[in-house]
Amino acid sequence: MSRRRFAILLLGLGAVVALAAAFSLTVGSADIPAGRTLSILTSPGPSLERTILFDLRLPRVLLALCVGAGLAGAGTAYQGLFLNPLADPFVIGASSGAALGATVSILLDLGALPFAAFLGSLGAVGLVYLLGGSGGGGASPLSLLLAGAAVSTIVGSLVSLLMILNDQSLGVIFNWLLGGFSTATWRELGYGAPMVGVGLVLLWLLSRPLDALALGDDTASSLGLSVVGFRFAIVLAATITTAAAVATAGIIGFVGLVAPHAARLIAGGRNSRLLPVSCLFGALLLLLADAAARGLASPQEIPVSIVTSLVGGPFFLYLLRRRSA
Amino acid sequence: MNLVAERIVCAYGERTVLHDFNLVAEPGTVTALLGPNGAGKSTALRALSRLLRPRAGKVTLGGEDVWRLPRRSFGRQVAFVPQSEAIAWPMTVEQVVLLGRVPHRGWLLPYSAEDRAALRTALRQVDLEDFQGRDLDSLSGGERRRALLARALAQDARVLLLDEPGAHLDLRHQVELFDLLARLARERRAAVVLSLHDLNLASLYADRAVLLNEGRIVAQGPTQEVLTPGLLRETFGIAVETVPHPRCGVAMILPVSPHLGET
Amino acid sequence: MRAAAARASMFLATSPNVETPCRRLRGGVDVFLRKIVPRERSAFATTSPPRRRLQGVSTLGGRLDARAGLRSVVALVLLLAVSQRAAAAIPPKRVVSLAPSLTEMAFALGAGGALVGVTTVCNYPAAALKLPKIGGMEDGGVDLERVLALKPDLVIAIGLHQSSTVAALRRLGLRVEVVPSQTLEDVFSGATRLGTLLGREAAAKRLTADLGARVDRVRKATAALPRGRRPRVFYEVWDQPLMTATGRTLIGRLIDVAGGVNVFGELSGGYVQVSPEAVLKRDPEVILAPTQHGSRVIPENLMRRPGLAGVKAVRTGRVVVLDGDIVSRAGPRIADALELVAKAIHPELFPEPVR
Repeated sequence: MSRRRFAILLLGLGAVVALAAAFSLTVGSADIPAGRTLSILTSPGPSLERTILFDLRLPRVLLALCVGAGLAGAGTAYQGLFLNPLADPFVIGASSGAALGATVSILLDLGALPFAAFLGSLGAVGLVYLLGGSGGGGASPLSLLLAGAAVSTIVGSLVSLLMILNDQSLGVIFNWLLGGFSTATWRELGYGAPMVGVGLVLLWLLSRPLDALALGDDTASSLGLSVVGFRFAIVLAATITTAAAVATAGIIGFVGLVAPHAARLIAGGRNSRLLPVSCLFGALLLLLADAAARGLASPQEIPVSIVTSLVGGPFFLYLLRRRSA
Repeated sequence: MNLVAERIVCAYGERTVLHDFNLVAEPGTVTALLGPNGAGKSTALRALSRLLRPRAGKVTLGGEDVWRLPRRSFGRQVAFVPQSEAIAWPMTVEQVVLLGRVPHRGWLLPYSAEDRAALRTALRQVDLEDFQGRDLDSLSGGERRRALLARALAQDARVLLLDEPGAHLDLRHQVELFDLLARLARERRAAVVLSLHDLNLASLYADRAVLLNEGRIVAQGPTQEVLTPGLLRETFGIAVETVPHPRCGVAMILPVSPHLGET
Repeated sequence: MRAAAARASMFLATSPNVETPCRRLRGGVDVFLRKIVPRERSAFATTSPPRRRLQGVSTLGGRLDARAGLRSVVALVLLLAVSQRAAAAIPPKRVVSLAPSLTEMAFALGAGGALVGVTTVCNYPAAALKLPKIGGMEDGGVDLERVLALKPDLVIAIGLHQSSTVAALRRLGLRVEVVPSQTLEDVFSGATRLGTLLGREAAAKRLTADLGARVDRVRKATAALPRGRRPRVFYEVWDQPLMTATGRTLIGRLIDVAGGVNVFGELSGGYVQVSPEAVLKRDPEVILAPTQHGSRVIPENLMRRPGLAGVKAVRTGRVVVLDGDIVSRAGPRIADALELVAKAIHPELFPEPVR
């Protein structure tokens, strides 16, 4: 695909995402007529409707956009790094680490839940990296995956244990684990968006090493790339993105798995193109999922990851059939 | 700039697979590494291409230990073509071959006009010009091999190391590939070192040969001096007879089985 | 600090309830201020030209010299203090409750008419069922949009597992008061606090006195009982897995005050899982269960569970099902709960029927 056509594709996708965001703004339990949304937002005076739109829905929609893009980007990077189509952003422990951080924060009532989750996430991946790098092979994709599985299981069990021992907090922890944007305000956006942005930019800059690593360690090395160094950099960037996403929105599955596959169908395998398209798909998917989570069973909110699974599962099957066709 | 292996010893874990290996990859020559399976040919190539660190001895490029050289600098001068490559995701020929420019361009900056010119030249040399936009996994085995060779050519390296470049190619493509390699050696003064199983191709195209068995060099020198029935029988364990090629006179190796002539 | 003060002032300035008194307040404060920090005899007298008159909060953003700075700080402090009192003096007319115990308490204090929104689990009294619902009660379950749309001038919460929601609501400019509601003592302190918040102090006094008297009656009747006359009690929350309440829970406390010995009282944690053998070993004399679990603790079922048939409570048929809501809410029905538990454990001491 030529550069021009790709630019048009990106713009088109961007427009679709913007439309989805606008639609998402009109969804909610407060009865605000869709047509007046824009005029309410731009009118200067303080009004209840403006507060709802500006202070509640807008940061929520923007956060869903960021988190969706972040998870999709991290998923793309991990699928490329581990050469595994089933890799998702949580494959080396980011989610269980965040869950542990969040659980501890909830139980001790520390209040700084996003920070605890973020640190927990980074810590778990760091542990996985250390464990995967020890032993003979160095931090190869396989040893990282194995260490990731081990650490995720252990940390996950710790979380379950903590939940059982403190059952009165069960509901809150469980709600957080299932993910959601219900208490998202500009503050959460202020934490999450910059980190996700930094991580995604780093990943995009690392597109070419990611391409080379996908051809094998030997090839990458013979082309003059430090395999160990770039693998670490890619894991770091993807983990920052994932940790920020999980810290602000809980554990939302399927987005990071499905978006890269969908993007690959139209953007090919080259990461410098695949990443932006994948991020846009992820943003779109999560925007629509969040709108559904809010709108379908008002005032009850369905946790977002249930919606992404219900939607993502069949979509994934559809993609598989297209691949084999 | 000679790539030289001096008395290198290579091992995987506890198992030593290459003992006391010496080689000089001379510019303008094609050197063939020959020997039975497991003799150490691939290991030797990986040691030469800075992918496997020798336990003893050293590999030097222009006198400098290659492990002291920056990876990129080494990559600009030595290109390695593996036997096969895992392609997990659809990539086009253009993308794969352009990656050969990474030692020159780096990992961050966009490719320049110079890089694209190198791409076109490389593709022309391996006769894949029309395949630029095709996905790699839609190509046949031979075409894929040629694409990998194009990448090595795009690297613009003076030393080419190839691991069984002729494997799984039909006769025509084998001959075309080796013609190309011989031409590169001759015209660009490249040093080509490759491993192969087909002794006759080695005889036709290689200037020098290294006969390996169980990790040790049995014989090394001009090809015609190495490919003798005695040495071949010692190395491969079967009896052979050599006859001169009707056109160019080099030795053609014919196996002699005790069951020949039986009906 | 300044930002918070500024926002508080802006909120107070735009909030419908306190606007008029606020303006009057500001005028009065200004007069008062000029008396305590007069321009001519200021301790920070400098040679700079005299400043404009203090405009109350609107000069916060501008540059002030030391004199005006001191005046504005004092103004703010006074304004906040006085307007808090002013706000409290006018009972809130639109209250959202984020917990069933608080909802019940509000109704018990006669302030049910001020409630405009409750959670989906607020099911008592019957009037609460008709009120608009704002979602669940825990973080992640509360629909912030609904709360905002109801335009409350007060939100009451219990705080536990609501910190994100409370913080978010406060950031959106709403007044949120946290009234802890976990223990027996919280019932009384909570009633008093709610009485102050909702402008029903007298009702609160009456309620706490009444509840206190009833609780004391039970306590006195059982305090003198020697250990031998305190039956062993097992509270079964659920059977699969087998779950009970330790002494740290509200029901655990009620059992203790009612003169029983919770067989799992010494365990840590709240509602914990235990093994059936442990129950057998401790041989409870009374089994209590909440209504949500009631259908499964009927004697026929208990007899069928392995080993339980031999337990004293089952043999003597002393299995009592209690209203699950009232024994788990630290609200106005706590005395009812205590009396129910006491009657179940010591029917001989509390023969009269519970209201």
